[in-house]
Amino acid sequence: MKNSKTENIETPITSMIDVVFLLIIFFVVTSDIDRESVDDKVKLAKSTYLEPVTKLPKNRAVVNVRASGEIMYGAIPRSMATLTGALKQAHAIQGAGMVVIVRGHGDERYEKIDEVVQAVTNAGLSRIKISAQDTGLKDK
Amino acid sequence: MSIRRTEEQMETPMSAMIDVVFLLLIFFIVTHKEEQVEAHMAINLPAPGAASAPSNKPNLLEVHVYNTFYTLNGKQLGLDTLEEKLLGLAMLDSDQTVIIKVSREAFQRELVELLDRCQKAGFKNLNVLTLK
Repeated sequence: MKNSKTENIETPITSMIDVVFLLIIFFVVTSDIDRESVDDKVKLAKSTYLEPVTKLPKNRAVVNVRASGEIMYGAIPRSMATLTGALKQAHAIQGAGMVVIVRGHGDERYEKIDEVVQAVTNAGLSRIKISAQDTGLKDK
Repeated sequence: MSIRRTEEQMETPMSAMIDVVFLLLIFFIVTHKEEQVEAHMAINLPAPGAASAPSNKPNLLEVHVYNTFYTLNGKQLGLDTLEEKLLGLAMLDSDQTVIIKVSREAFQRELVELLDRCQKAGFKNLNVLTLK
């Protein structure tokens, strides 16, 4: 009799733990691991018809251009000369076929993007992609 | 008395685990960011040393991007009119090369909007140059 009273007082936490673990698994699975190249300060211009990217190319260098005009590569601000050097180095490591992805802030003047383009050209590279944010409205 | 003690000893200590689990949950909720789907457009760069691309060939379209407006083969247009023209031209020949010259004063979003319209029209061969 005393035993059953003790059982009634206990809070049923099993289902709560189940839910909490499911939430943790959800966040672990959906968290983007490939964040090294994405600058959160860059708000991309929106695009409807450009092809959405599901997987980034293996050999790539991602250059971010912030609204402040800072050119970031590998989370370090770069001048045109240092960016050229860094891209040359990346090219030597990654080999032919390396693509430079330019993530320019939508409200940044093209002047800064042009600096990146010049650095890419000076580094002897020719494959470049302009990045935009997919609106997902293409099929709607 | 002895029965109660045995029951207590058999209980798994859950409090510490629940604390850790909740801390993990709070961490993931705070650091979670909505995934942003990106779209990429491959563009051709000018050959090193090339001052400007030839623009007088009949199979070339030349679009200039300025701050707030565009020009198509020298004619000033708004984005919607430009889109209509591009759609019409692409129906004739979508393989023709589009030379896009961008003013340094133009915004990046204006270039992206043009690339977006070129993609919609079906143009694939896009060359981006800086307007001197």
